[in-house]
Amino acid sequence: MEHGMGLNIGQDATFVIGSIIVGYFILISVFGGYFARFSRNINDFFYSGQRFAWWLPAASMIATGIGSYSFLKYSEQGFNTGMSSSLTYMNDWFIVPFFMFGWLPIVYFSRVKSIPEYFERRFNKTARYVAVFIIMAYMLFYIGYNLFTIGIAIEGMVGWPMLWTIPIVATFLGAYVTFGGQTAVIFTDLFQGVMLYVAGGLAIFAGIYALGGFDEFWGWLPITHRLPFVHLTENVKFNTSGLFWGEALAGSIAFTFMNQGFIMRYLTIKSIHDCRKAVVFNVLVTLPVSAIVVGAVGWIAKSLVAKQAFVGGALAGYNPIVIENTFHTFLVVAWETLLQNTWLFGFVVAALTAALMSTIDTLINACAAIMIYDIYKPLIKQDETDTHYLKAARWASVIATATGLILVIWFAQQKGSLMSIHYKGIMVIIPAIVTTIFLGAFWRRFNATAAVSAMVLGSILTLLSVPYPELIKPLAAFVKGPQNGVYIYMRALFGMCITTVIGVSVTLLTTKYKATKAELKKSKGLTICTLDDAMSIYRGGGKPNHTVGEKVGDLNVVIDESIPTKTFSASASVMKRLKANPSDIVYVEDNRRWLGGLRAGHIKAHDIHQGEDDVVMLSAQTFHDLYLLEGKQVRLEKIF
Amino acid sequence: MLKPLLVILTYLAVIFIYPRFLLSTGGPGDPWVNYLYMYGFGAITFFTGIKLILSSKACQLGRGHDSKWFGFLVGGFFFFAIFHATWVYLSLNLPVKGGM
Repeated sequence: MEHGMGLNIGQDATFVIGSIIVGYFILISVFGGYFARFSRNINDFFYSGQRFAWWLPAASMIATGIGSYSFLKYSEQGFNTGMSSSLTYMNDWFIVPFFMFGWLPIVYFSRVKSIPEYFERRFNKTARYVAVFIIMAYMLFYIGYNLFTIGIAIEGMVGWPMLWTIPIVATFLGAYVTFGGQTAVIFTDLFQGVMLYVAGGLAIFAGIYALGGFDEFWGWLPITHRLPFVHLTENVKFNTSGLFWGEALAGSIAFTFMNQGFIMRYLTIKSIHDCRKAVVFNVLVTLPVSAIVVGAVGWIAKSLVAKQAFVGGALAGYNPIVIENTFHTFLVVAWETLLQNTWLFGFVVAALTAALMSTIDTLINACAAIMIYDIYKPLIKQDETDTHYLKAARWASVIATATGLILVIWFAQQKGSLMSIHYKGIMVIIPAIVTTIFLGAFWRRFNATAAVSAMVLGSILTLLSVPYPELIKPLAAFVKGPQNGVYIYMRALFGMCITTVIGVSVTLLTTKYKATKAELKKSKGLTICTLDDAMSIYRGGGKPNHTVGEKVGDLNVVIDESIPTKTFSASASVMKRLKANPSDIVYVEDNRRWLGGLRAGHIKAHDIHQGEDDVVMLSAQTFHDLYLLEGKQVRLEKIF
Repeated sequence: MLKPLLVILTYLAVIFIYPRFLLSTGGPGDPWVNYLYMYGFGAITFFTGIKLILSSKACQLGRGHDSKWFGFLVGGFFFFAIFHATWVYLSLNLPVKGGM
């Protein structure tokens, strides 16, 4: 059976591979569905109660960050331009200071439930709904695009028509996201992240082995393919200058600052200190490793082809590797270097489809959060019970999935490569809002009129640069090629510059140099220079206690109904080791650290008890709210 | 009133002039020009961020874990800069088999 990728896979092998994929989908859905029990309320459904240890969301971001067709796209890029395919994964550090000490603490401490909510609190309602429009466009675009590429990928791999595969995949995804919420998304993504690395590692190992070792791989790789940077300006679709502005700045800021899915992942973490651990791990470890996992087969393919050309035929023990369609580089190389082993190849393909699923589940959950917190709750049903909103959140997940499905029809009608459709869309949508977020968070004087003007006019002018690309020319004249396509990435630079000019000009023209008391009050805790206020508001008043204490474990829980709900009582010695004072926020978790905070939560220190040192006292309600189990010890950590 | 405008004009001028300066000193295909483009603009972005978090007191050295994270931030930047520079150097200087 010949599919569009140049592989000759027999009917029996297709059946085995197809069965592995279907089995994998069922396994993931059942696994995700199990976590429905950890979503008792709307906060659990979207934010998992802000209780997880850093490593759990960080590890689950592996699968989220590897997009729907990363293996195919980056292996193709790796084959065509070499190790520079890793650039998009390894240029994020420049924005980390802004995120780690700016945006992240702002959204974490202000307890905003969605990015548009931040816009209302920082500016006004108009700003919020302009932001809702742009962010929903961004996320629904991604959901539709990812579903579409799932269909393309599966059709290419096993020949099943996308007319059937896309709705079926959407049903599986929708099911576990709808019932399991954020906890299900995190745990399934964690599992899928491991599978992705194992499958990618397997394909890389097989490729290197076929070549005869790492020295052979490196030795046969041409210099152009060894370099970490591609030509500065030459390649219209992939050049270093465009990648810096489009990917390292606009793209990375959009992904980390504006992508509700990623923000929600950070908001599930127990403390800002742990959030920072997740950021560092993500940028320093996960992204570079992911760059290798998704792109290395393309680099290996280049070495294999070079070695084959030199020896004048196939390598000993292998079929000749011929890559007719570079989009299928990963599949061709994996199939041949795994010696056409159906089971191993089936596993690799199943894990590859995991990459497809794990980005969308995050986006569906994130879209549902915006639908509930920015549309349904403030505009449709304001004062309903938590159970009502939980039910509405599940319906919102279904609507987000269905809307994504409908958008697939639009994507299917577009012309051009998948990559060009993707970037042409994203580079128009993100620059204005990304810049507005930046100005709002880092410049206290930036006001509501300026924010709305910047988002609306910035977006319109960025959109106008599509029919009138000469607008971008002064910033990008050195990028080669006369056609409009050259400005795919540089459009982001233009959009960010023009939005900044609009935002700053309108601010200067509409405000006095000194902000009024009302303006100062409104921006309290919502800008980088008011983070102390944010921390104080977060802990319910008082000065944050920044003294670093110990984590105290192996404590037994005693139920005492005299302890107020959401507080605990510990011995003087434990409080001393924690460096905690009464009313400080303390994190209580099941002593088994591998649970990652699944059974945990934040409560406040009450008073000191005179009992045993290894005893912590809680009310039965608090015990239940923290998902703790009878007979299991707990660990305490002072947050601040 | 002038300060924000001056800051923007300075950044726009750098965005306009720096690539042209790089291209006039080396060809666009030179890997080191690529490196200087990315880490030049990258350094401007990164150290603007560092200045901002320090001047706004979002990061206060000596408070809680802030010093440790500040160290990670600066160390991370130089780690990537040195890592990429080493990578370019090895790519250009280790021999290629088959004379390609």
